[in-house]
Amino acid sequence: MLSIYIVTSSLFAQDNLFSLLGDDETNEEVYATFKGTRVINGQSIELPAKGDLQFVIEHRFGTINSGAYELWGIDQSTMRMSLDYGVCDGFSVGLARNSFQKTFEASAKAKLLKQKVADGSPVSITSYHVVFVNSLRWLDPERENLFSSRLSYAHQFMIARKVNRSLSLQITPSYIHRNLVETTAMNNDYMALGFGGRYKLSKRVSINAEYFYQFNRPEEDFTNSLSIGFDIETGGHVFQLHLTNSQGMFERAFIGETTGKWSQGDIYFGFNISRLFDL
Amino acid sequence: MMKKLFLILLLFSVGQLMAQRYMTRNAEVYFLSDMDAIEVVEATNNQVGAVIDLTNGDIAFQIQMRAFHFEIALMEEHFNENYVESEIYPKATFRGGFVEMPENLDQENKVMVKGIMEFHGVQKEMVIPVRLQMQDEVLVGESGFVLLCSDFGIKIPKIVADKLANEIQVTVKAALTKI
Repeated sequence: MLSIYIVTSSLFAQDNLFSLLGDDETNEEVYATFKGTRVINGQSIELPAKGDLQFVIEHRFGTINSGAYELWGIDQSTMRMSLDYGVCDGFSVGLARNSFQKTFEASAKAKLLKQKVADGSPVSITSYHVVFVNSLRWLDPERENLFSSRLSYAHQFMIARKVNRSLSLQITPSYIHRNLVETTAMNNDYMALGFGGRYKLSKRVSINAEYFYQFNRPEEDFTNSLSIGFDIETGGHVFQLHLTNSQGMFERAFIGETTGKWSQGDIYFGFNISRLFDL
Repeated sequence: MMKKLFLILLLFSVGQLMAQRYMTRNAEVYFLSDMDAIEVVEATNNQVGAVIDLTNGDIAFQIQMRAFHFEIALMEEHFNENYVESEIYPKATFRGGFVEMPENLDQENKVMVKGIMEFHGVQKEMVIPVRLQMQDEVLVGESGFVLLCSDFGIKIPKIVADKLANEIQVTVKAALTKI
């Protein structure tokens, strides 16, 4: 009887020791809302950590409905290469080149708010600002062509919440400005709202989806961008494989100038491969 | 619940008025994977809670997994997400006691501590060597031991198996003050 008392009392004593330590959860920032700095085409709230250089190479092949002659699109491909560098904690800069319309990009990305595990912000917010330079030869070299006509801009706020271990959701209010548009019917400015998310199927694989709804679009030819794909992570690499109706891989192109229709099979297969270098 | 807890606390604090308890919330746990491996993994956590009761030799450690910080951010993310799964198992604990009570704490004592390590949801009995000394009313302890990832259900995927070590060298440093 006494021994039972001693045993239980010493057991209790240890629980007591733990109660002294309390259950103070460290209120850390939520990590890995998304595996990559892009959900699919669009930016995610993630950016390279301080001192990290991220190299991303992306391909979009031709449309799947182009038939056997084009090997269902594999024969045609457009590509994008980018370098992003984490200047300090929560701020990165990037350079990129797209073969689509021979477009150069310079961008900056800043984390404004970080979701916390317990108390604090329920969402993370990152802003993204990019200027695009179209370097195609002038359509009409005879007329007066200004360099500023080559420029367009995109500004986005990514607002995301890691709901649980598997599910992360993001909305992306976006504003795009083109200095020069092709026809008078086109707007120089337009707004869009992006919806994105990922669901983890296993520790290293997730399924991702993304949709951009464009508000003021008078042009009938263009459609909203819809993409679905997988993220596969292997250590320092993230592979993203996806199907999308957008051929362009930069914001102005896939938000505002998507022409493919899912219903007609204008679907592009594509992939992003990112590699992180710790400098 | 709080009332009950308070009562229990009161009861035990009466029962153990003579208890000599030392505590810290800033003990340090450092770990280093096998240096022979290609990817050397090391991290430090200096928000570890520890209590030692010198009257009966009880020891308790509580380690928040998210407080391990790495030099490389991506490694920290992978550690939390893919290996220790800190969202499912947010903390590791050790509860145990001295095998023999330390004798004269004014000089350095080498004692063995026996107890249950709970880490990644797996409990394992361990015996750990500890060096202990009282320095100006502060109980200073140090310990080093080896953990095997495989003992605690931490799987290293095949593709990185030749890059990451199963053996983890753990170092603990604590300076506890009387409460």
